[in-house]
Amino acid sequence: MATPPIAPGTDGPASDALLKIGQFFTRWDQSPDRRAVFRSGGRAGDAFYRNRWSHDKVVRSTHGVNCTGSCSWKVYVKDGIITWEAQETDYPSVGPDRPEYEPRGCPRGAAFSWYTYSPTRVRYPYVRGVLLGMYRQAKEEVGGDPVLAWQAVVSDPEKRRAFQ
Amino acid sequence: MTAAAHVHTIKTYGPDRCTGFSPIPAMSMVSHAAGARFINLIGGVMNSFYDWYADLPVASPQVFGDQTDVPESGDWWDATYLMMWGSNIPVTRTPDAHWMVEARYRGTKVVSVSPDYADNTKFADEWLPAQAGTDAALAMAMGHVILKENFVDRRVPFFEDYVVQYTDLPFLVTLEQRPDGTVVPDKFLTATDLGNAEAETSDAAFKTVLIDRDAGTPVVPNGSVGFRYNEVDEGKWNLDLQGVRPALSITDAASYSGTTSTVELPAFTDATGEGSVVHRGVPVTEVAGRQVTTVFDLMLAQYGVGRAGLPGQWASGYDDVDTPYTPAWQEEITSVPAQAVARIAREFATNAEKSRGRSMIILGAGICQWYHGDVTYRAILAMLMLCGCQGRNGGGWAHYVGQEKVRPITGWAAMAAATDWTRPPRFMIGTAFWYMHTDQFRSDGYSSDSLQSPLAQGHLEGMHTADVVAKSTRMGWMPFFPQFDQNSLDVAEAAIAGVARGEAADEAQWVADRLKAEDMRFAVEDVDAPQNWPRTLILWRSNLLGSSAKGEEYFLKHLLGTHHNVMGEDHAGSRPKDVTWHEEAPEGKLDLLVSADFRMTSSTLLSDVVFPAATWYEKHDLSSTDMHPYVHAFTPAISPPWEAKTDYDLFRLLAEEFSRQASAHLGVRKDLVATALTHDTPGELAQPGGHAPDWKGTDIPAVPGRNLPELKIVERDYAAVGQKFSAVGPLAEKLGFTTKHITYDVTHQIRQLAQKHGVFDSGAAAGRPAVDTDARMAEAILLFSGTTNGELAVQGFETLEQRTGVQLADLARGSQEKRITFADTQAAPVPVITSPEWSGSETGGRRYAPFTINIERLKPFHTLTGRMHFFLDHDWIKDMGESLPIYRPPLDMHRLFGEPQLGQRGELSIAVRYLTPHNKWSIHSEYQDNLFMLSLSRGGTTVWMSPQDAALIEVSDNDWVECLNTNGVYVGRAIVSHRMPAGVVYVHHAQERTIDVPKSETTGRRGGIHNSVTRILVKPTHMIGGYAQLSWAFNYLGPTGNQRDIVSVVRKRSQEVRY
Repeated sequence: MATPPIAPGTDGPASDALLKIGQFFTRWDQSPDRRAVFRSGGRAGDAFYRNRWSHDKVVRSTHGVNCTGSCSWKVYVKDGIITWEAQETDYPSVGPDRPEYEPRGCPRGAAFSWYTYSPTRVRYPYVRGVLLGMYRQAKEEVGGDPVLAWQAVVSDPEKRRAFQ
Repeated sequence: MTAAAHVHTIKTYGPDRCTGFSPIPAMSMVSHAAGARFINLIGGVMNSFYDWYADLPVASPQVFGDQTDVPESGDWWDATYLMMWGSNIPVTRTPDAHWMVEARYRGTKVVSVSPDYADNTKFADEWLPAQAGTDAALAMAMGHVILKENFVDRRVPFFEDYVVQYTDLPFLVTLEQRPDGTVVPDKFLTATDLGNAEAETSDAAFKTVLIDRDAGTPVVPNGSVGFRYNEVDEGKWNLDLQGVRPALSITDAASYSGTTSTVELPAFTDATGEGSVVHRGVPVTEVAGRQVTTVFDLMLAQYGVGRAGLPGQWASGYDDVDTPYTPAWQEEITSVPAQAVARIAREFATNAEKSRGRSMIILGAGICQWYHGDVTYRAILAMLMLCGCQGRNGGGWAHYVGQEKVRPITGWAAMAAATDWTRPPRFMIGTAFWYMHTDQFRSDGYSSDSLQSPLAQGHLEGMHTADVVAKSTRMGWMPFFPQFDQNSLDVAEAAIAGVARGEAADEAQWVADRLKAEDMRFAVEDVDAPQNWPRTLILWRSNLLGSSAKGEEYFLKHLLGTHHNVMGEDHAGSRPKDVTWHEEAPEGKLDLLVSADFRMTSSTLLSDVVFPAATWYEKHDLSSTDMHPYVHAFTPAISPPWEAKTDYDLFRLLAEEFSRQASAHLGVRKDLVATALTHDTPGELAQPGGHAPDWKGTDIPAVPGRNLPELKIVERDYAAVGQKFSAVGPLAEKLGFTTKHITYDVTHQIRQLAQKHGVFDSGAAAGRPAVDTDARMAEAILLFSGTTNGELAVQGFETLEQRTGVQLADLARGSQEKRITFADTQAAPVPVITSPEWSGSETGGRRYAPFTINIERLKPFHTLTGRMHFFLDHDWIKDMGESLPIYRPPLDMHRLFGEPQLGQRGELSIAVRYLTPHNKWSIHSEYQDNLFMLSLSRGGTTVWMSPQDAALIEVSDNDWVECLNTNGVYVGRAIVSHRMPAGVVYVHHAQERTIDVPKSETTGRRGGIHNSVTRILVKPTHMIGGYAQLSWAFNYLGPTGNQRDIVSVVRKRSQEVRY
């Protein structure tokens, strides 16, 4: 059976489920579609904005992406989660009568923290399934020696082709 | 399983079938060093990246004898005339671009050379829109103007003083009279040729000669490479002319009698690349029975700048359209108006004269990554050298490509190469590795002679490029791995046994004898035989198959044995002679492809094993760059989440597991390592005159280290690899660590490290200082480098003072007590210390500019003459017609390979130049899949094209198009922009298969990456070695993986796409 096409956009069953869970943890007044929350009071009402920019620690790091920038960045962490980054500004001065190196950075570097929890993140080791199956079987057959098991797989041309 | 694959490969085929690729150590030195250390400890092969990326300007070793030493961006501010040539600063050096803009406010004129209306062009005061790939024609014409106005019409003392002391212009070149009566420039005259007492001195064949202007006699000045290595000449390797005033032209010599000679010089003015010959007169004199002239006289002849009384064809003026290399001549080629060329060249030189060399040229990938990119660079560097700009703050070349500058180089190199435990390591030239092992040589239906000079003498005659690789390997010019068609462990043990039986004086000679007798072959000579395949490949900090793999589809077909879009046939009609041709090309050479990454890429998707890596916010590491003078730290903001590990931990665990398995299967073995004759070692004196007859098929004996690679026996304790990985080995104190022929005694540093980190109490590393975490390896890197440890900087300069006899150590003495620790780099970026590891001085808070130490302290360049070179005299360079700066057009892909002719039309298609510059929404393949960057850009694969070309093939903006040729197919959406010139498409570098790539109409398979349409084209002269600055060193010299000459057909396709 063909599944109905998913409309473009970010809304869908998955986001609905997430918002539902969110309501369980933060019991705020919400609009019926759960897309807006209502809060009252001065300090209590604007807690959201304060929390948005609060953090537990700031760590110096950079990006190893071969861009030659080698810019130093402040990485912000809240509750053990990387939240965002901002440009460091503490490059030693290059002297009077000329501009400075600080701040350095570009929009690409400023977008890096997205990768930490992104859908493209590699979270666990992967092995090609066919290969792992053959390797495990071979390992059993040769009595557990990994080297002999590998040899058994790759010296069999058919097995070798099967995982390549 | 990964460890088992390595143990099995070493046991069955040899350690040099285990390979690794991880580029750009500067962008995270510990992460790079960790993996490289594992590979090197097991005897595996690390591939180079700088040449492979075609970021390596081959002109840099050719001219300077140094690789990519360039100013920090803060020094652009010091320039008073700034050109940007093929480098799109705001896009590719974004955090540094402000210096260029600010320099304009200070009054610096900024000129841009780019084929398109690029982002940097918007900042320029003047734009020279040279047609893509024709930049050398423009530079030669500027050189013509500079030479005429500053060296002939008027002789500018500032320029003349500079070139006679710091360049090869006053040196003598012999003229060769050929049997048919033609006369051509031959070789540098050396002390050997003089036949007097000078000829009897040590290394006389490497001491070049000039003429004393006043006395009119030949002089052998200090500073050439012949003074660099032998004991007798200690203290004489310097540029002190000791009162001698060199004759720049032969006509300057007091003894000049008015004799002239007409020489023949090659020119490549035809768009097909076909060479022709020009006749130009030079003044000559006789020295020790030989006709000689100076490099300067040859330069004027080459550029067509005439002087009264000389025979030959000369330019009649700047408006002479027919004579290379006038401004009017170049206009036909580049489309840049002749008047603009003359004016800019004049401004450039005038500024240099008035500011004492503060004219600067920022140059980059747009002109470097062509087949003849080295030639273009030499023509541009010539402008800078003629105007006294190199080695000046605010002047000289500023080549920016990858993040290649590892400022703490000595420490990083030691950790990465594991030279604290075993040496030499196996380092390979990436381009030749991929060219041969992905079988791209089989598609290369041309031989080197189609690119030769019309005056060539046959050194390259009929040579297939695969034969070039084979010859370069056997002559000891360039490394190649696997080495032999046998397991190098077995070879080592057989050699030891052979020597014990008295069959040869030593193991190296025993192996040489086997090779000469053809009992054993170099693996490159039968690269497709199963025993010679690379078997394992580990990628980390790298997305080879989504980014740099020129000829991507050939990788998929031959190396991986998976689905591919190769559409061409093997060129079976043009087969190599020295490399065995298999009727059936192998598919699937690799047993195991492993990658470590934190995101899914084309490479991880194609890997057999993928390890989850820590991101840049999850580990300790170090970063440095050309662009600024600081080293600074990576620090984990969080621990690596899920099962992710740092590269350091991954390779430590792999090393330990490897050793557990190896103890039963491998134990302690001897290994025989072959390395090329290496730059900055006495090995570069192996082949005088750049003339080295082949030992293969002749009576000439094969001698290791002379005309054969260096061959060394090393011991490998495979069960101890895990323990060695985490400790600094004893060769550190025993042999020291060497960078550019300066050996650093690190005994004191080893003690310091032991006190700080402790030592291991048992096992193979008992008593050795620990580097058992990423932070500790970072500490070791900083401790062992002069740039980050003042004690070593001073020590290195003192060593160099001995050799040069000039004062140097004061440059670092003020920092002698300064040690930059890892904690310092975590606190704030720290500026580095002036050190002999590099050529520029930062002493006293100066901005870094390269070669300031050479110019100010008379320390020689690492070249044949010890000066910067205009002239190169290796046999192969001569035969390619590239002894002097010259223009060579982009490759005619139609003539060479039968690809469509540029502009050739089909129904809704047109053949165009296919260029792959970088864009502003990604850094290589990184960020192009990032949600924010996808939102800011159009997202997915795109093809930039001109409105003219789009109209011809009825394409509107955002229509789907395909770019294809025999190599493969790329599918993307058209971006139709007035920024683009006609006849060219831009497919931005590293747009991956992972984002919105539909199936192609052409093959029915998914479209490729930008490199699916490209293919490796190896230039033979990049494979030269064994001769002064033209000697191999890792990422110093090697064939480039250039890709800009590629032609592709762009065609409109069905707008209905399927995934």
